[in-house]
Amino acid sequence: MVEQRSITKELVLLFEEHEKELIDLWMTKMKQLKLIKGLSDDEREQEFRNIYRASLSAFKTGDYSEVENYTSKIAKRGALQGIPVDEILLSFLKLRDVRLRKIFITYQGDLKKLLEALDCFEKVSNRIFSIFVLALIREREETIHEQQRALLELSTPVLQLRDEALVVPLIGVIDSERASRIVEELLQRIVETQASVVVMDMTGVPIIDTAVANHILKTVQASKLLGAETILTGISPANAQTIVTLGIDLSMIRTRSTLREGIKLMHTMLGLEIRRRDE
Amino acid sequence: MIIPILKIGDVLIVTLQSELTDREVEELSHDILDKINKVGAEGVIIDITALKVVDSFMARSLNSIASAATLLGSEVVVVGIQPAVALTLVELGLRVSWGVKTALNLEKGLEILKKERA
Repeated sequence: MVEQRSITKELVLLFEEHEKELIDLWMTKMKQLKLIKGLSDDEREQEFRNIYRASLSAFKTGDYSEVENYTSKIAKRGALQGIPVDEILLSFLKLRDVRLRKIFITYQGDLKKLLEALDCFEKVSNRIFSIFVLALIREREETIHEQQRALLELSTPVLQLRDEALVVPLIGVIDSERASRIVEELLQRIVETQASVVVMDMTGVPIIDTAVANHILKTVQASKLLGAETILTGISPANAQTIVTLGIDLSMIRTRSTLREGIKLMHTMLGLEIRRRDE
Repeated sequence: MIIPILKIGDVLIVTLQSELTDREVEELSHDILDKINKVGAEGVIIDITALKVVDSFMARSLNSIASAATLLGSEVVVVGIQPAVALTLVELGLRVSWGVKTALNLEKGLEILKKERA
């Protein structure tokens, strides 16, 4: 243990002393490989010095929080400036290579010491690398999550077709998160527009199972409580069969085969009639 | 708390201003049915726009007021249910027992009553 610590100290000292030299070497290598071209030389040097010092502090103190902070920052910026993930990872690995070489050169005469140094260095280096990868993955996941949210909002429009009439074209798979969004949005719009009839079109819903049917029932009932009647349209023959086979009771809901028929019924319910002008 | 029951023509209008205790709900049910009987109202509108919370007891009471009123020859319409309240009621599973007519606001409630009588 004592030996471990002393070799750690030696390595830290080594990297601190040769900071300039190692960073310059690293920069040259990166230039040869044409990595991280998006940044200017100054920016790059600044960036590299930050990485160098953050990882060194992890070495020194055994505390990886600085590395974590820094990597999450890098991951965010990388995503913003469009620096590809493989370039970020490669450049980090390059720093490892540069330091490894330095270790080899320093301890070349003493195999025992060299192995000790490698043991120590590999442990820290691998840990930092995994933190780096995790930060990048997390960033990706956040982006995906945001996009999902945006998609969710786009996919649940509630349209006002006439005074007192709303149309909700449902498209895609309905899960419970989306279903609750649809209900909330619909109820809000019913209050805003004073709607008394809602036409819900399911043409774009590929599968109706018990969960989806249940969500629809709830939506219809909640709208009813606000005072709006719901007409369900566009249930495909296959889906109709599924609903019956599953024993779901939708009999209390008005249904029509197509959106067109649904809108006709809506007009009847509103007491409207559409006629040609010349008749 | 005294809840006023207003009479306009053949219609009674009850506006609830705040959440009621179970006891007050019972008193209100009693008062409404009493008044229907006394003035021979054909319709009752209960306005719950101001209520942020409707518990299962309240919901059940509204239901039984409606059933009893029907026996007295009067129609009950509950108006102004808030979206959040509607969601809660549905989650409570009131789909079977909830037989009360509902409307968005007082005006639409009156329209429904007018249609029923026509």
